Amino acid sequence: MTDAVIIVLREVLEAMLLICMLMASSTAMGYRFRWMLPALALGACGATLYALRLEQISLAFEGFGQEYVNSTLLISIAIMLAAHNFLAVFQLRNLSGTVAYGPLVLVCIATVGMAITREGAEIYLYGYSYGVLAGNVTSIFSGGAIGLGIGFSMGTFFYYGLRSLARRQRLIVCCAVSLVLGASMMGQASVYLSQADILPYQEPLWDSSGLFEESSLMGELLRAAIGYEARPTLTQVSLYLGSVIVSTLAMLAGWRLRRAMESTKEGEADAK
Amino acid sequence: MASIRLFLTLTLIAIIVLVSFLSSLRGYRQSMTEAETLFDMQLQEHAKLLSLADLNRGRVIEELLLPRQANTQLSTESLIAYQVFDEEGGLLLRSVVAPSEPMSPREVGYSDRNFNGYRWRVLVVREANNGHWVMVAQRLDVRYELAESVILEAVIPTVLGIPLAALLIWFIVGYGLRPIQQLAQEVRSREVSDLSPVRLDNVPRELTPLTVSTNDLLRRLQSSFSREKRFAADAAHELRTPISILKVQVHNLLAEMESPSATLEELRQGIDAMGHLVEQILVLNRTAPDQYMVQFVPIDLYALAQDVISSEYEQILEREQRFDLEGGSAVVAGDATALRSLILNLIGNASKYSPVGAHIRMRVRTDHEEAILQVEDSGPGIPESYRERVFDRFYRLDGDRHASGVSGSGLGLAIVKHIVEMHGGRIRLSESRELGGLCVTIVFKPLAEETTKGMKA
Repeated sequence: MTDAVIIVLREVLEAMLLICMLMASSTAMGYRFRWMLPALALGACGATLYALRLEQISLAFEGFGQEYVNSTLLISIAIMLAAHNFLAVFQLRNLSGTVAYGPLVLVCIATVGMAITREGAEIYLYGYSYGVLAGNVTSIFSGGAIGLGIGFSMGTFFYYGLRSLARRQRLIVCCAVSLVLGASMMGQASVYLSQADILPYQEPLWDSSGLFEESSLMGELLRAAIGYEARPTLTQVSLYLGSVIVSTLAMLAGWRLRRAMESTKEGEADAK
Repeated sequence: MASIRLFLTLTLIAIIVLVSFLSSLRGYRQSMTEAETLFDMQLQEHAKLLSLADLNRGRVIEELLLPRQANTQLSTESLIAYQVFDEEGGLLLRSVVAPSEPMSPREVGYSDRNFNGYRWRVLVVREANNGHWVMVAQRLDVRYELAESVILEAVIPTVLGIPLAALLIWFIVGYGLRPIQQLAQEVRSREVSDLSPVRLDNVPRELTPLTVSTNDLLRRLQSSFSREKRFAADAAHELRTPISILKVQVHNLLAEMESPSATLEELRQGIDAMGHLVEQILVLNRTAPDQYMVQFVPIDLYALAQDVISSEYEQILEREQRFDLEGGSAVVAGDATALRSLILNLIGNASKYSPVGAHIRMRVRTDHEEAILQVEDSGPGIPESYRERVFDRFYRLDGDRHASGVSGSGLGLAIVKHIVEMHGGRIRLSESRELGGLCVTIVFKPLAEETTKGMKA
């Protein structure tokens, strides 16, 4: 049961952090979360499809189909999070103005939909193989429910914690969380790419298993929150930092674009 | 925070889930450790029993059964395997599931070993009296499953109870927040002019400051409005005498001059307009629902309209307008002075804002016991988006640059609305289908209802 708790908690917590951050960010940009229902529906459909077609997916790409799909989903989520940061900073520059609702909805639906597809499929497969097939339904489902409950509760506190901040601070914290989550996604994607032999095998740069074992509760929580790896390779670290840099550049671009637009407006007003 | 109810429900559930689930998790792990100890003690008991048994070399006997619950799924898998060896290592006794080879090296104590395709917990004991080695083993997965099935019986109710707790919290929080909804409802359902204190039964301690502040605000608003009304009424009343004197003096001046200048004529018109404005302010104040002393009597609207028209006919003729009065007797319970003022304002407005030669029609009729007064004209009408605002005091369409060029006080329709409300009626502005201008429709309450009410008052 403890394993079920840890695995479900890790997946749920990762998804909850992402969803709650986007919800808080949407409110800071002056919008409600009408994107939530379509995003959840998309995620549920994606997860079901992924889990049901797992055999075909696994056999594709010379047996590396699952690694390809997972890494694609993770990289796409990281890109979407960078796009979110662009929009958030665009808003941050001028809180009285508004960001176009269309791009924000698109980013939220795509991010949440893909995250739920991945996490949902993993939970489904774990529950099915270790619970239903292995005859441990009660144990796995009780553990899963406990993991789900704890993940949901932590997400609730995280969301209301963000909501208690003023709009500016909320957007800044959301950008920081999005930056770390994006980097975490890229780090995880690099593991799948190594497994698929797209990235070469490398010796780990360090080993912090003594501090936090990856499979321990704390290790799993850290993995969900900041993409913790006990034995990361150079490529993993590079991709992690690369994601941080790209996201930072996106924020810088958002800031500059808004400033340029404001200058143009001021110029037009002066001309009038 | 979008909703207090949602916030309280979610955070309370989250706290309950975290506390109860983490406690369950800790209890589970603790219980599993305890169960391990119990199983180890059980192995020890078996080893003690075996060491006392009368043994024949090479015997294979039925396994000792673990005491187990009737409803567990475990059958032969829950058996204990055992071996007894003599001092030289010769097998004296073994169970069916135990292998012929020793399950563990001859080292006294507990250890985990692999045989028969499973992981086993093995206890090795050496009997001091005869030097026999007793080995007792139990499958680890069976122990785990057995322990977990028992412990889960305690965990599952906690997990299943959460949705029920969530539902209860949702309803209880909703019930707790009801006084806020009642307060909001009490304030929302009031008439615009009702500034009396909010009265709620059993106001919770947390809401008392809000209720007190709201009532204090209402009291200050009431007194402020009263001051404003008194001031307007007093000022208007005080202005009547000097305006009358001015009127007389201008009239005398005009009579004395052989050829009056245009400026003097404008001055006369200005004084007339000022006099009209002051009169309108006084009427508005008198007909305000909270000022008027209700003394309703049955009044025939048709007869009253005829009377008003005859007195205003001069103005209509001056503008070469056509005026029709249609319909028949329609009796309402009302105040004659106020209703006269209402008809006067309606006719005055229709005539003033319609062009020379326009057509004005007044209809009086009864429909389902309701008296209906309708005034239509062929003037420019009022655009739909302005039809609410024209009832505001001093509001004039396009301000002072009204297309008609007619001067007015901007109080006529405000007075009409006051009077309609005073009589419990309703007023609607629309476009006249037949004449194309404005159509004002006023529906009065049925006579019987209003008379009864008036008598009660």
